[in-house]
Amino acid sequence: MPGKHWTPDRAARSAAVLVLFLAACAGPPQNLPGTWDIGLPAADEATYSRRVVLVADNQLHNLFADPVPLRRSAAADRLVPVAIRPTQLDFFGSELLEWALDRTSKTPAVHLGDGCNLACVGEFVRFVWHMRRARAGWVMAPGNHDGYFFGNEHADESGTAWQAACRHITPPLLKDRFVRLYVAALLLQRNVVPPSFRLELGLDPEPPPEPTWSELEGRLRGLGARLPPALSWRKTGSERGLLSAIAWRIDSERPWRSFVVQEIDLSEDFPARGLLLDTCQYRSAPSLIPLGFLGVNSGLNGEILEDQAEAAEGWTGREPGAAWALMGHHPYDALTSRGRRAVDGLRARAGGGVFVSAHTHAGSYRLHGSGEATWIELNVGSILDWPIERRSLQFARARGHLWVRAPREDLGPVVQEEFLSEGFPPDWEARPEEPDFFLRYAHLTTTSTRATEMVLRDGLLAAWRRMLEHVPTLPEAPPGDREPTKWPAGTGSDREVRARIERTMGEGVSIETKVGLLVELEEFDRTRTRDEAAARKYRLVQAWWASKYEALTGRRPAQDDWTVAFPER
Amino acid sequence: MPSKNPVSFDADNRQLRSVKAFFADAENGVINFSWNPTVKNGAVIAKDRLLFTIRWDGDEEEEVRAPAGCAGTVIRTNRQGVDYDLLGTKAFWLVDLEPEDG
Repeated sequence: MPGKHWTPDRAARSAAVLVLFLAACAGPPQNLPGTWDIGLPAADEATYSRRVVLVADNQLHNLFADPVPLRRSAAADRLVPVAIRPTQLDFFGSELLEWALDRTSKTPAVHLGDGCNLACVGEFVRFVWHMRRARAGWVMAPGNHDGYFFGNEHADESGTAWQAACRHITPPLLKDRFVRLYVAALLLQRNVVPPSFRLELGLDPEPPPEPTWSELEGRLRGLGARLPPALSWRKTGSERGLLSAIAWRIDSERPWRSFVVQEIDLSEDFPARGLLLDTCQYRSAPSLIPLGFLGVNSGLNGEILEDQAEAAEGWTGREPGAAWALMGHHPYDALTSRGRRAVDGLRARAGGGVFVSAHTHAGSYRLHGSGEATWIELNVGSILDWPIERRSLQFARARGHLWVRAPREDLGPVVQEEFLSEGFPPDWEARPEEPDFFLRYAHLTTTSTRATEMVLRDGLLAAWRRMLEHVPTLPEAPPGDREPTKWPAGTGSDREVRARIERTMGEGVSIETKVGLLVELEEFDRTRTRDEAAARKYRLVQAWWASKYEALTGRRPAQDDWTVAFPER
Repeated sequence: MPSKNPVSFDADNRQLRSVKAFFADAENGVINFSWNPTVKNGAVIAKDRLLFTIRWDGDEEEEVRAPAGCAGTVIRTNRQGVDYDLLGTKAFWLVDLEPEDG
């Protein structure tokens, strides 16, 4: 989203220049040949594959990060607009992911990457916790934020920047660590992993009961540590489980060469498969400013190396006539030539099919090739950034045709209709004069990361204070399996918590003290008793405002807002 | 109490809709609705006419027939616009019939 904070005049001038430039460069419009049909329902006699839900790019962000040199200043956000998101999007954005999964919980989910943002182990653990809402199971294709610092580079994990970013939820999530923890997350899922895969790893055929929050990180790390550095496994019988093949390589010396590639079984009336590629596997370590012939920034380009492609080649050629969805985080055009060659080779062996990607936060269909060799890519938008998007994917066959059926749900209007149509308390919404205003950071010009983070932390604390006013703590439920409420130190009521929040806001209090309270507040929120329906509504609406105003670059009516109330006179 | 009917007919608007409680309570998800090819624009239907078959994830099938009152000439059917993943979340229109005096 370049130019997010430009003024309208500058944006208009720039747009005019861009239009002229594109008019000079653009070729003729690219068309799907007339042998393809668009928008035609599958024939009545069609047969179908199984279906998966597609979500991507929730960018779960460490709320406890120390100031990150260079990257997280207001000035840096002007250059790279997603360097900072509204506080409420970082704070409440996971509710959008959980809600989308709850709405579709009978269908397995494929996450197309960027579950994390700064790339910290604690971000991934929280991400896995949210993904448990996919009750029919979930799998994932890794994104550039799931193993590379800020999504851009393989940085020094002991260096100041990554350590600061992962403060309180260390260590940094290097790519090799990601593979271990991700495969461990698969192994915890009964609906995804066939028993024979667990046996292959020397585990009991059935996973133990789902871990609690306090058990989850230990369970992931423990299972991850038991994995061999390389494995290729394929299901042989008709066991239950979405996952039909997996191969990985974990290279702790060169983490960027680590990969995990997976095949999922979508067969119902005919053979159908999904191939989840790891487009975040690089020959050389990605860097923020790539130098030399092999240099690459993982935020700009994806890559697939030969060993991964070879692992998947045997799978794609097994079933002539099967329908294939090749899936990966980076769009095809953002792959290096090596990555594109790998996809081309796998597509050829698979006999075509659709390529599914994410990363752009602006979903669309894309065309590649020409004439009869034209093929399509379905790019899925973000479940966080506007327009908030969720899709499904299913194949159908009839009369010699293959259909891709991919209903899209634009969740912004759904939030508005479901949660705001009866109105809302006006003070739910932070106003521009208030410390937790969604875009307060966007008015800063400082190059100081510390000054920026002071504003962001105060905004987060103010958002907390506001939430406690509207989603209060209820009397504690009778003791049972439930953990007792972990009140922040020195408090025992919402009023006292709010008072402590107020004492912690302002310039006279260090960032460390502010973050210390935020850490306590996370535990408090997890253990306190609250009206869950009210909490969901409040959190969704906060994330909705944040996502919407960020896209609009200001608190202003959107094109499809029906009403605007003038000030009282 | 869980709904036992996957569809309901709105007699005032002459519209057949899915019942979200039915699908929300169902154990499995839906693979697809397999429509009766003869039920489309211009067809005349009456109670108990097979409209479509629900194909459940898990190899079970369930025929959906026109409920009482769902009789008349079909204007259109919603073969394209049902997001099967949301059947337990909201009601989808499925068949529109011509007004009784039309």
